[in-house]
Amino acid sequence: MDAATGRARTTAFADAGPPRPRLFRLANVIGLISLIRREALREIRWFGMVIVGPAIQAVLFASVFTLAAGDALTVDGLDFIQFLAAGLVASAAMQRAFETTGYSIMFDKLESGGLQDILGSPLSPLEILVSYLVTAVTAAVAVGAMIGVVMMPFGFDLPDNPVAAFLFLCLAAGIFSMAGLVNAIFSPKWDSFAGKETFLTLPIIFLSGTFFPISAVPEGAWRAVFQANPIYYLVDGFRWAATGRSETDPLIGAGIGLAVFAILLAIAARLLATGYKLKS
Amino acid sequence: MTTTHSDGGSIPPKPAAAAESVRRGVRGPRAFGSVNWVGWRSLYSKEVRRFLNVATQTVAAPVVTTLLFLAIFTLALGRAVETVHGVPFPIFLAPGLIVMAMVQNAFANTSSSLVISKVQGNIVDVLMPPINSVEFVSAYALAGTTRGVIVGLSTGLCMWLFVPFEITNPGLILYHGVSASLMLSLIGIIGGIWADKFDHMAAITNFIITPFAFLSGTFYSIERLPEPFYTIAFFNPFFYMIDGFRSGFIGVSDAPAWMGMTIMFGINLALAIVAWRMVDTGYKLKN
Repeated sequence: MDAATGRARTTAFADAGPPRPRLFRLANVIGLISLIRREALREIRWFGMVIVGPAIQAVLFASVFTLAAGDALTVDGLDFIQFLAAGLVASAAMQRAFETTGYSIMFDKLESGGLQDILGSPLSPLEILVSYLVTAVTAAVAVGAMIGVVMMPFGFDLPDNPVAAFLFLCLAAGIFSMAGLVNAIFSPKWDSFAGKETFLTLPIIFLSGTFFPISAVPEGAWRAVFQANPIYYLVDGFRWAATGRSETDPLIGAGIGLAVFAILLAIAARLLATGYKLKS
Repeated sequence: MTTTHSDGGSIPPKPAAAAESVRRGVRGPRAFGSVNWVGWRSLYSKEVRRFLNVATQTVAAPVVTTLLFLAIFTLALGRAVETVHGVPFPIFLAPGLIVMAMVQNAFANTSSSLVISKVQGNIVDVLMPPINSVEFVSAYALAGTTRGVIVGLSTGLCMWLFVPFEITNPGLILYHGVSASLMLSLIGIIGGIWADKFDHMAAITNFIITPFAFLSGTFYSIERLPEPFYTIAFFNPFFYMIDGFRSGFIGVSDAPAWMGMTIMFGINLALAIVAWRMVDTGYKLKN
């Protein structure tokens, strides 16, 4: 039987010539979908845990602010809980996006060695990036939506402009998913990844106007620092979409967000294409 | 160097000890008094070095996070809440944030150490040596307390640069700082022994530690609470440590000083007994 199949194969080989390489037209769609599925399955496995932490944190923040200040807090006539809830949704989504891609790459790189399988597959750097991006943005928007739902008993309403809110959230998540990926590529160990998360990413997220309006920051050098944070404009844009009020023009926020995203995407693509710290 | 290494692979006794072991006939077990000090010190320093090795993550990170919290809450609430108990809001807030950082890190130290050891299977390395359960619990608990105190000192120093608070009663600060760290170290030991995987640990942190710490009067005086919650707040042990610790700075407390000190002592005693019983009976550790 072995001999028979062997002969058959040899004949077929002789007839058809050597097997041809698979040709991809625009993109390796099968590879793209496979990688998205792999990343999504990994995310779903601990999605319950991932949701619970930020949800409890959001409820605690809302309770603490309400207990500490009562009704004394309003921001430009906007109920503070509305203001805060929009910030909590955005910051939870950004953090989730950062950790989804970051942890995935770190784990593949250090623990399972699975990163070589991805790098060795017939996927272009852009295709790999798109796969990670799709999963991370989906996970982040889902977490953001959950936080929004959790905040509703506290008085958070459905977004004024759902489409814009969705797009702003996607943009913010996209930026941080790329940032997480770049961070993971640059980090040789878990410690270095966590260090950059604690000392760089979290301050950028927490000081981007998620919890307080920029008018609360004393004028001068400090306010200039806060205004130099591009994420501030993005969060403000999201807040405009969610509550109808903002401090800056949402179009400027969208523009700055797109620019930051494009830069990070280019950096990530360049790192993957050159194989910096990945292929040696 | 009178001993030779060629006598069939048996461990060559040191020259000074050789005569002694010959006199006794055998190399007897190492003798120690009622406390195995060498063992205790080894376990304690292993636990302390475990976190000092990654001090960026275990000391510097909580400092940055706490400063972020200070910024967020001062900026967000500062306009609406100007003073609490007659002191400016940031000065009211700072001590509570310091204790929160201390207890979260004390808890993380003991619990993560035990869970990691259990998951990786090297817990036997600390269960097998001649260290009894009292030594075991106290070494872990004091190492966790050490981390809490180090985090508290670093956080306090950095915070003082932004919020120049004053100290009115150093004794109260010391007592409550140490007993708060000890309490959460002991809870970490109990939780670490109970938990089978990291998810369980995350659940304890998410559902117990964080809510208790947040709702214990760090951010507001419990006077503000409406009636059922005001009474309930007195049943939250975290309230006493934050209240007592803060009164060492601002000189005003929600509960009387003797009450906070007694309750903290009682809770620590009870937790220590529970942790000791768990280790002594080998619950989820030896099977």
